[in-house]
Amino acid sequence: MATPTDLLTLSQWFGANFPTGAFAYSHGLEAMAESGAVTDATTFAAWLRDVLERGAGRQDAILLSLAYRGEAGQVAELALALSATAERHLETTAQGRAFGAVVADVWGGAATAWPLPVVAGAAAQREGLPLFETLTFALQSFAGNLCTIAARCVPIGQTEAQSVLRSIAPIIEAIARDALTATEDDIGSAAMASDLAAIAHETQRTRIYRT
Amino acid sequence: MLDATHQVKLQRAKGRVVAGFCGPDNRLRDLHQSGSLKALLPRNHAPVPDVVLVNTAGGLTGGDDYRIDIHAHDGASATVATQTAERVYKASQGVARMDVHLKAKGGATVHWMPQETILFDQSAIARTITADLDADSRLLIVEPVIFGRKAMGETLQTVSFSDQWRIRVDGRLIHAEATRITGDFIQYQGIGCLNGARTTATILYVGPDAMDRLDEARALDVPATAWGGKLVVRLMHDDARAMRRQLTEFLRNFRGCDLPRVWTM
Repeated sequence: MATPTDLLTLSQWFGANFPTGAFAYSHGLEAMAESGAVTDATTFAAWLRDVLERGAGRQDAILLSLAYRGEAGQVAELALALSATAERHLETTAQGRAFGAVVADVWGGAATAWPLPVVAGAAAQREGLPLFETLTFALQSFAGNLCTIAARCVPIGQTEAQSVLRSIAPIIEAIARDALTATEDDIGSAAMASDLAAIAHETQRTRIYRT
Repeated sequence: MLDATHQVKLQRAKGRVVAGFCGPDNRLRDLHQSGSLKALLPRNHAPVPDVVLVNTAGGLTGGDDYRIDIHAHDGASATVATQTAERVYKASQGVARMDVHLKAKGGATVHWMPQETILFDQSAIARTITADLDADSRLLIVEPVIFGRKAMGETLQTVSFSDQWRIRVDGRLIHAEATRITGDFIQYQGIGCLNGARTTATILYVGPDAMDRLDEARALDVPATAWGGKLVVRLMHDDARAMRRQLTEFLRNFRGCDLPRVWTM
């Protein structure tokens, strides 16, 4: 069971105020909006569900869990190698470096330049935070950031964005539960269209977001 | 009793090929083949040997077990293709295994470019590709997959497709692909996943010049990305013929030579 202190730590680490620079990374959403694939709350929600259940959401949850339960350095090598595109690599390494630096400065321990899910999993393990709650907070943080970006760049209404975030809560819970016991063999993505959007974003003419 | 008989009948195909080349004149150093897998070395009048893999079982199904090892050393170059598209049929039990091991050392080159893998309804396959290179060798992997051919009226209800690549340079893992499409195929039709596409292809190029070739790849009008000493092209199409056209056009230009003849027959 998570103690109140655990929950406060998790909500701090995965809250919008934590300086990982998440607001700059749209995970290809900006390109999906530009191409006309995502135009409203319905299409955004469909894309977000794919990214969570069959893309980076599930994959990063498993990587976080593996880093928490095992040798984080080895998981970091795999997590880096698994980036689907140059911008995905930037997204996970830049945020991971920022997250690791703040946690090291404030909570202690060595700063590691690992990808975000790996540095988060290793830090949660070191702080004795419960894995399941860590996974749900990390997944909601990823999804919530994309909802905020959707409100700006699709655009959809602020309330619609919150409604989408609420609707994916059961998905977050299910992904977190599966990730608790997942192994390297369970890692796998099928977010091909989303990966193609990330590639298209590299050469997109007008860009506000870094990915 | 009935169950036991059934099990025996389901004994499935095994196949293994090892082919190794050495030196700038591409001397054949190793060649082993067994089971349902054969390696042909057609004379192609080109300096680079085409190894053509033939699956004499005529396709794959659950329980099949194939392993392929391709080695190139000391300046050798090997291009490997399959004789036809590989069909993965409905599995009554188990999963077909396809394990590919590629090695390029000492300024060597391996081009692994099988033709399409066609997945049929209720097929199950787990494929792994592992590669070991050193920093002055090159590797090209081309893997097109078709999720049922529209033109043939093939529709997938369920499928189990797992594809895991692990690429190491000087022992360091520099690239991994992990694809997992399992269960009801309709779940993978969303705008973030296949978005209705029936075929995908992943092209990976690793070599000292991989980063420098990004502009060239983009100029060939394909979605390309490069980082960390590797270049990746990802293609997706509704139609298998459109995929093949784009793939052959890109490969002819990017490789600077014709495709292995089996690709164009």
